Amino acid sequence: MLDTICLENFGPLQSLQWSGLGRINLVLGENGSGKSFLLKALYTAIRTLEEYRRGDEQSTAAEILAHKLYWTFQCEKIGDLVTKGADASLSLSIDVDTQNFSYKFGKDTTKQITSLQNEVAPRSSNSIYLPAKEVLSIHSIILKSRETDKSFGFDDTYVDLARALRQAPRQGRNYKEFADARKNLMDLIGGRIEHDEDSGRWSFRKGNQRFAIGVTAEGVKKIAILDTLLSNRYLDTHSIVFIDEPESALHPKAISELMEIIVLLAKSGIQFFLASHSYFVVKKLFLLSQQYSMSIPVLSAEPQGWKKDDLLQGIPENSIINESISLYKEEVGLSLV
Amino acid sequence: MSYTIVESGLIFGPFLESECFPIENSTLYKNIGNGVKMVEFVLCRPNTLKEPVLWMVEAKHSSPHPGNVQDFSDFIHEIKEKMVNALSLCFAAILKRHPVDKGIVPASIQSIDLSLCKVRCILVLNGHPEAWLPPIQDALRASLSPTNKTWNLDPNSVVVLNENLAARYRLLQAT
Repeated sequence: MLDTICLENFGPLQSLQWSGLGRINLVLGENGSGKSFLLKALYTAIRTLEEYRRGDEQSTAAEILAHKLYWTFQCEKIGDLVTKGADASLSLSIDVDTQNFSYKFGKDTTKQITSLQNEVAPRSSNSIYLPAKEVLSIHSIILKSRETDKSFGFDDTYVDLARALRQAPRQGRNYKEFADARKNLMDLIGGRIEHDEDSGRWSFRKGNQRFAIGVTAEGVKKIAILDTLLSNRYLDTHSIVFIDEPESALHPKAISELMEIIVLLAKSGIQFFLASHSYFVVKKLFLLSQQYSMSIPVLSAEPQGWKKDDLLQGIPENSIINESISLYKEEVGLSLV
Repeated sequence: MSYTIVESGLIFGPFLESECFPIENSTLYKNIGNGVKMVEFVLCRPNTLKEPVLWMVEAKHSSPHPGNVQDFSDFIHEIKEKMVNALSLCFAAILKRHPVDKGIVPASIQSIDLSLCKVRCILVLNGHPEAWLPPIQDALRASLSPTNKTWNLDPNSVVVLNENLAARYRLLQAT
């Protein structure tokens, strides 16, 4: 589990320290505030730790990290990730299960990271990043663009997810919380997705009916992706799941149900980082934090910097709630003037 | 002469006698007897277009949390009942369906054109943070939707305020 985060001069994130992280962590902010960037920065670090020394992998952590940063952020050289105009180096330091992993590099770095410290034991778990857009309908295109064409376009969050989905579902007993979550996910969308190995195509199965993935609703595909990662055991109870805009393509009712499923999975041990600008995500997570007395740390992008709160203590003042109040006041003004 | 109305820890007014109908304390309401829940008072306030608008005002100390579904739904139902009763009684009074003394209903309300007048159903919640108000307003609006439609009221006729906003819209004296 990620306990502490410290970033300096990392793209739009000039300086950020966030400690006391929970099983569910929420990042709020307007478009362009750096929410997704933060999640990707954390994802590249965690995936580096997970790929390092796995199986017969011989690359150093620095090599894996440089490769991961290059393909995730897709800039000409990784030194381009250093905050524009910053004098100091980019640095990231995280504590994973109380052990530290940190690195830094300057703006002239092309792909050689010379300063990297790693005290974290090799991780056997897999973490995943779920982008705002679903990947099932372009699954083969994503894989071809990287594995055959080796071209930019789909970053590593998409490619890793496409690869993770390729793993076949596994039979046998799953973690209880995973089984419960899968049942709730199926209730939510009314079916499951299946991959046909021969045609390489995905379809959505609802009862005895099978639908082409192209005619399946966006929200259904999004939920089905999480279900697949639980069924093929890509995720385990030590995984970290980064979800960018969990609200996208979902009805508010489905958002609420998804948040309940996330809480269920968090209780099993999975750690979540959610980047959102949804009123419903904030509200529902606030209610769940109260219901289960569960700490849900919140990081909000404010004009003066990042603000840290916990939903257990209440909904912090933030631009999403403020916009809701602003619309309400506009309505009152129209009524009473 | 003017009225001030003390309710739910708030002091409403002062309102001119000619614009305010303290309906809950009126002989008109008292003559009806028990079983009819009523708002605190009715105001006649012209809008910026000089059109007369009837403000039906109810005040409460608190509301249940929307997460407490049963209590919240009972609360919304009670406010809705008061608003609907106030609308009916006010319109009935203007239509002179009740035998009451002249002057019980202020002239500005008695002379209003019911076919054109606008209505605002206003709930004032004492001590509520602004962030709690939008969902309550949404819930009350949904509950009053059938009344809104049958009387052809404006879509924005339901308003929920806290004491600060009530002061801004001259229902209370600003403190």
